[in-house]
Amino acid sequence: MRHADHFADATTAERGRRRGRAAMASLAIVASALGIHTAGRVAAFGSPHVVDSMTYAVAAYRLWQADPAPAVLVSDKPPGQAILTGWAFPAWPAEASRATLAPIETAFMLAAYAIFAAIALRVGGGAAAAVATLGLVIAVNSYNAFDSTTDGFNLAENYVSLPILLAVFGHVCVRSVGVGGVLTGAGLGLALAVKQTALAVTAAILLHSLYELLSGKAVRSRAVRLEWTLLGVGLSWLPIAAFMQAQGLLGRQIRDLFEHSAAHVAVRAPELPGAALVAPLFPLLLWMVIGGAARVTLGQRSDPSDVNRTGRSTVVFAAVWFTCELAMASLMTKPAEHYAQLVVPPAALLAAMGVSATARALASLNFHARKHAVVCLAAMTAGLFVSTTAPIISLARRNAPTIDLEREHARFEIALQRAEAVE
Amino acid sequence: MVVLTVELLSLLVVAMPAVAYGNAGGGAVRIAVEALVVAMIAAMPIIARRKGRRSPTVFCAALLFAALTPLAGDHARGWPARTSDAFSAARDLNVLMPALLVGGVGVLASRTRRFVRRAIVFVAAACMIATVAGAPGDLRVLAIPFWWHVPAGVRVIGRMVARPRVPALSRAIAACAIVVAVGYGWTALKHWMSGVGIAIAPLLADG
Repeated sequence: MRHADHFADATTAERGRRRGRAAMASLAIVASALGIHTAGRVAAFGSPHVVDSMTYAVAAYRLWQADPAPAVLVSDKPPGQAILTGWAFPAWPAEASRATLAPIETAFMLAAYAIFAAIALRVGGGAAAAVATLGLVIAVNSYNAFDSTTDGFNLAENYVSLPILLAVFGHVCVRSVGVGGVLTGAGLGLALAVKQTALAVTAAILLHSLYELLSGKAVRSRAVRLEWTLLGVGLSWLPIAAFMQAQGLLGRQIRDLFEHSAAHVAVRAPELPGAALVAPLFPLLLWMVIGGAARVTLGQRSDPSDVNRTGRSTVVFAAVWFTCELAMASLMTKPAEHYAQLVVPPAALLAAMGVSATARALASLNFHARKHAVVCLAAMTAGLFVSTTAPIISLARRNAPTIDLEREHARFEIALQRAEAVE
Repeated sequence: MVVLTVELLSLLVVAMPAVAYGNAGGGAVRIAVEALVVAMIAAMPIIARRKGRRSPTVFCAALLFAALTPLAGDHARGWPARTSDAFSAARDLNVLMPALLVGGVGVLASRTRRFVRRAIVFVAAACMIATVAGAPGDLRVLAIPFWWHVPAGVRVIGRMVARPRVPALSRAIAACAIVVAVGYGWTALKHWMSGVGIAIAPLLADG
């Protein structure tokens, strides 16, 4: 009896130690993600070229005035970003400038990271969520901060990621047909109201739903889910349309969108992206490759209880989503790095699945083979993470001293006067 | 001979800007200082040889190459050679990545009783991250503890790839490690070659 009690105490103690280690690891991951995000924001905000961020900030400021001018919004962008951010200007205690939008942008991006971590946790487990979320934060901030065509602060991609990931969460993780459908629809509707490139994730969800219908899986519930999704889209568009109608801008904005959106896309001959464009994705691509090899290994073992089979639909969705985002990014006429930001979430989701599959495949190896494999993976992952993070930190160190909030206000005033003078 | 050629070419590159401005004395001082730094870094593999480790010559050459590449590449362009500013930190990190990766595998796969050596490597890693974030430090010097474990890392990865009856997944992981290390090494080699090319171009033009 005493031996059994001692054994039970030892097991409880070991469980407690594991929980402690997991808590420390989670804390380290969250702190790293926050640090990288902060460096990315400083690098983007401190960019010497202030282009798109000022245009969108001025548009958002003017939209929330009592009687906005007819041409207040950017003609080829939906009004979602201006509506979601412009409310901060009247509420801001200090003088209006681009800095007013910094807390809102950070809130959107941090919420997007958290939603992605929740998706990755459900799909792949704790380790997968940690690796994939860190890779997502690094890649998003890298593409954003190092954009060669504009400054990365206050871009639509920084706001559209949250509703896109909400839609994906509803589609992949929520089993309830009604709740999942409404969440997916609301996310898609809001995403499309912020940027038209959300058509890629919309197409991915539609194609995946079609795949499941053709597979004969729960046809009726899929059809009901589609109805709830359409309801969600309508619910998200209703307040936006009401606001725009109240400001007297709804009809004009719809006409402008239809007229000017097509100028930004064109079908071109496919060409391989340069190494600099792919570099931020290296950590995620590594796990996509390793995960693919692990899945092949798992597939060769004919074990009926293999959980590999139950995740196949999610893998198909992630692959379709990745392909759709790649296609959308390649259609854009301007070679801007920030267009690749929306390719990162599906790549990170595939990487999370890769981590999960690799962990399952490694469990079947003997101790020494497993140890050496884990050591190699840890060294490669850590090396690639540090290598892709270092440039962001370097750019933040260079741009941080140039940030001057008084100059920001003066710059904002000049941009406002120019915008009003154009009319 | 290969090591000597690499070293002489790189030191020539280091001296070129000073010589071009007619300051031969300055060029000589620069060569002397850099040669001293490189000698201190290169002492590690020589000590390793005395302790009976295998194949130190290859690692001596690779270490010298990694130490001199930033000098050759960026010094010729007038950029800082040491890890003294933000972008040179990112550059040095990429040049050293093969050693950090393979050395990291070597230290993580080592037996737990070599606690002190592991602790030194982890402290060096923490200092390297702090250097990238802005603390004063030289990444090439901080990478020395990783170089010490490179032979062990090469043995681990080599066994994962070459031994029979190794699981396919282990072989795939080791192959990825080799691809990543070679990819970073190739980038460093191109960096060095372009620096040497820029430095000796005036000599060829005058000749």
